[in-house]
Amino acid sequence: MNGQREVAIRVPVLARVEGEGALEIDIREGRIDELRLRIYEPPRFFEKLLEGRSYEEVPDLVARICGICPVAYQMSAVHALEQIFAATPGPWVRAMRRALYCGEWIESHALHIHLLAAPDFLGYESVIAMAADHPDVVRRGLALQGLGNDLIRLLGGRSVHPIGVRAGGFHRAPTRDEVRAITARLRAAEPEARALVAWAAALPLPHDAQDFVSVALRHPHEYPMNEGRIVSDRGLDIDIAAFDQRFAETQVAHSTALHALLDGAPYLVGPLARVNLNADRLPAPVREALRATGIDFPSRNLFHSIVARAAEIHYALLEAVRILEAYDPPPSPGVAVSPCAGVGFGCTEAPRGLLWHRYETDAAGLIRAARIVPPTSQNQARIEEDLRCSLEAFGLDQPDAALRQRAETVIRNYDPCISCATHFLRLEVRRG
Amino acid sequence: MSAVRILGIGSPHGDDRVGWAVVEALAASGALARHAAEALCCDRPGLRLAALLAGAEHAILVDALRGGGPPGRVRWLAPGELAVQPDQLSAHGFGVAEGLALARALGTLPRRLSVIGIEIATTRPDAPLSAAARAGVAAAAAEIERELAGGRAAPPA
Repeated sequence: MNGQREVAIRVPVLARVEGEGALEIDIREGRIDELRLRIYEPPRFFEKLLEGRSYEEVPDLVARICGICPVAYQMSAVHALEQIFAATPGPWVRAMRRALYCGEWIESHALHIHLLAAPDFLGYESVIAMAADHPDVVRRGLALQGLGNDLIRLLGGRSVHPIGVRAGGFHRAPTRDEVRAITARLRAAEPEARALVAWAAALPLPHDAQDFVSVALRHPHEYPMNEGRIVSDRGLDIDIAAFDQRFAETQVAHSTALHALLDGAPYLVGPLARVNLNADRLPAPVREALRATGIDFPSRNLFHSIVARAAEIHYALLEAVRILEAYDPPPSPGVAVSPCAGVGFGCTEAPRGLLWHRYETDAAGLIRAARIVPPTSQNQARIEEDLRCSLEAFGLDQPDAALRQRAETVIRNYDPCISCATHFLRLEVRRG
Repeated sequence: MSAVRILGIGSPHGDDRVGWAVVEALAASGALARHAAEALCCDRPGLRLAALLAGAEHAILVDALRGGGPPGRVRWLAPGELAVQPDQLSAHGFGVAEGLALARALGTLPRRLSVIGIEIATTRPDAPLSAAARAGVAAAAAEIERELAGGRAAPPA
């Protein structure tokens, strides 16, 4: 094989990603001529579906966008609505929303590490094949995922599409006994999470340093979840309301998900971007676990995303324990809100990265307009940029099967949730 | 811990509830208590299936089935009848076949496993169980009770 052949690689249905997409690569004269991450899952029109609905329905409706990260959609939505209604739910609600989000980070990250990403690095076609050789690793992953789900259930009523969240707070406060029981389980899992960080860092991850822009929320005191300014490692530092001034969504013909660009260029959101920008906000035990891996953060190697994900599981366990240890049932699980006309913004850190919402309401609190910018659509242009860099570094003269495997590994490393962004994948490579 | 665990698998969508309805029927008839069996209604358990099976001597799974037969027909499935498509696995695509394969790889598959499918035609959200599905639920509950009473040997896992 040489670089002068015309090669067309086609992955008609990309496996081990959430949703439906395809990849097409055309190689001519030893260079990538065309590369398209084709997202063909039909658009879901959630934003239009929200129009005319009451603000009270929004948290339950947006939770339906994703079965893996429903809490993120609820969090961005209620913060935007509370901004419009000038509601201040207070410290108990703030703390419990953070604990709920910890549950989602734990389950979503544990799922991605074990079900979707690790089989690539260890050379298995699936978690089922991997489980036969690494049963303890898979058992640990499933146990962490289950624990995250149970934490979501504590505050959300159920683990998939939770129904416990409302503008102003929660519908129900858990009892002391319920909180005590899960806090003990979270505390007991901490050594497992710490071991997961070391295990992820010891995986045979490809070495591929790239130049990319990391974007995440940044908070004065905390590792970011529900609050903060939008920052980058190139000096961006803006209020969430100013998102449109620097970020632009564009339509591309080969995708039913919009592409987002920062000042006209691709950028990264998600666990690696968060750790790159906020490692100093991690508590000492997580920083120590990361330092012990020998990997320097900020990292330019996108494959360190799996290590960042594991570190965030470790963090989320510790953070949930910190919050829940001090639990007292409140007199009321939230405050009443008074709807009014206005415009509000919510921007929170979904497991896959920045999730930005904008709502416009009328005087009765009915939604006049909604905009939702999910992390996967923000990462799409970066994934295409990464594929070009990664495959050229890998060697375009490699056999088609190897190129295809590397391309799929690159894509899965971003944990794309195509269902969220369109709301699956085919690789086609043509060489020429 | 009960030696026999019955898992009714389904979702709230119309006749996809048949697995849950079988568990409810066995509880209501006193069959669970008579045979010291435990039972759970599971909403699309996916990856959790391996954990839900752990520790049981004999597991009976009941789920809705689209196998081309008449709605309401009860089928006892042989282990090889459920096909896994490993290269398609994602959290959204992780079904009963994949859950059982993962449990087998992890060594948590019970010594005896019975998988029962009830043929259904529709899964309309919020629709009540159809007459055919109700008949299938009654038939499946009766067959499971005979199984619990030792009247029928489950195929080995």
